[in-house]
Amino acid sequence: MNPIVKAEHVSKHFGCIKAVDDLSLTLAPGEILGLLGANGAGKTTLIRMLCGLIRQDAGSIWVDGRPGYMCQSFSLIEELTVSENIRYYGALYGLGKDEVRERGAQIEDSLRLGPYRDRQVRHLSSGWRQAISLSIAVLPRPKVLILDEPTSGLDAMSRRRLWDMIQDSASAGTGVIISTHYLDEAFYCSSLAIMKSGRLAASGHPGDLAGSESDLLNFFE
Amino acid sequence: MLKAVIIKEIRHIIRDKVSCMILFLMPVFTLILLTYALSFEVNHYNIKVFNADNSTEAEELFVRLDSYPKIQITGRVGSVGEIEEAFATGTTRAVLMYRNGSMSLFIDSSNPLMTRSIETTMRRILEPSESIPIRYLYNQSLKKEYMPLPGLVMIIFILVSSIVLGISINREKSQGSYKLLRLTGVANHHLIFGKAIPYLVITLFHILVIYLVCLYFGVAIVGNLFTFFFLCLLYSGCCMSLGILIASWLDRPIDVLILCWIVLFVPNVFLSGFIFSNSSMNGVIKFVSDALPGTAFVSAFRNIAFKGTSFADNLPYFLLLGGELLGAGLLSLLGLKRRIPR
Repeated sequence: MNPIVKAEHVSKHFGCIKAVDDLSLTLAPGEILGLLGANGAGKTTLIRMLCGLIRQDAGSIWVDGRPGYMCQSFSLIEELTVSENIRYYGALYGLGKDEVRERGAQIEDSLRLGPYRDRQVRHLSSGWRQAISLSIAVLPRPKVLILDEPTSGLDAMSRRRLWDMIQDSASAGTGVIISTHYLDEAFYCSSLAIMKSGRLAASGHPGDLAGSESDLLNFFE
Repeated sequence: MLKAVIIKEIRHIIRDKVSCMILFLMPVFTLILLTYALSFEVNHYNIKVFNADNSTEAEELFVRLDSYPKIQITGRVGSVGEIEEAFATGTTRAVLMYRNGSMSLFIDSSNPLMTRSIETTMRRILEPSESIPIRYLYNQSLKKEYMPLPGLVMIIFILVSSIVLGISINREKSQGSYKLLRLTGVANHHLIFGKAIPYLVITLFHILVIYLVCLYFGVAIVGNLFTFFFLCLLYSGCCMSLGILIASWLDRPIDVLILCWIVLFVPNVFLSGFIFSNSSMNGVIKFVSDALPGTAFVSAFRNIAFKGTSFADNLPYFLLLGGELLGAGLLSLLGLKRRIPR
């Protein structure tokens, strides 16, 4: 299957710090690639380069189309209601009014947003905000979805809901790159890329790399 | 325990650039302004003279007048009709006319503070010899409302156009929505215009209110209304551009608020000639004062609204405001392009 993301020998420096060092990876449609690594391993820098938010110093990056993106901090406009956020970002993604309405209704149904749809986002819990952020990231039906620690700080239920949404997107053929600190989430991914000091320490199927969460810790040492 | 808190606080202050600016730069800046640069006393007047009789007595008087350190004769007027023209750009404060063997003094009273000052000075110099009839132009009843109005409008526009808009743009960055906006493909200039237009509408509302307030206080706007509204819009646009410039290079809304306060609000209030006369400023302070959008706005406001001067008479002020609008706008685009918050 042709890759939808291809990064070859990518490097990025901030002053004398090598944030990402000669890293290569690919992503296939429907694949969930988990980026694992300790704080400062270079996950966020790599994600920002894959999104095109910053430029790499060396190497090449190719992404099929404009990726859907979601970060750890809430990207929603807090003063707008859920429906207004969906309409706002739908318009910015260039979707027509009818399409935004249709997609908005789908999101509200799938998340069972009924009572919350006309509530300002700032009054919602972190879990709901992240679920809505993810729904907005997939509004334009991107081929690639890039998620930067989307489950950080969420409770178990919210994390479960978010992972259900991610797996639904992958089943529909969307390739997902997700960075996470939670080792248990590594086993929800179809492949892993473990980063250490900006380099790729290991990659492959989670089952091939480690039998348990504690095995994964070996890669961090 | 106390020691630990003190050490932590010292480190906090030293490492937070904005705190350092407030704690060290701001007091020095204010001290220099209030002790050296600013004075309520007006120590320099540009005047013009008109010798209708071609009298040698008048010429001797003009030479004596020019020798006073506070007075500088910057030119001559050829006829009575040219007197108002002399006041058009706002650089001439008074015209001394010698006709039919007696003197008359014409004073630009669009700025009542300056009017009182120049009147006192001129009387002190000239009246030992004879009493001078004085004619006040533009604000004949010397209404005090003429004095603060341009400055107040200037402050309102800085608050609405620079500070609130700057914080609003910066909030997008701090909330994380800016990264998402970048990925939606929305162009930076669309983002800027999209955010600025509602504030422009609010500004239009304020301009209308200002116009009504002028009418209410009997401060007639005698100039071309279109030119007056254009001036207000251009100044508002300039303030927006400067606010966006600050917002685009900083990551935290609180930093934007503080920096807008330090580099826009305080200098424009103190140095624009609204509270302290520009005539008393020298050197670098005078240069800064002349470059401030507030100075251009207050001067052009007085000229257009109170004196009825034309767009062409105020062209340098319009060019300065337009130039700063464009310059700050371009630097903002650069800042938004480069500065992606973490």
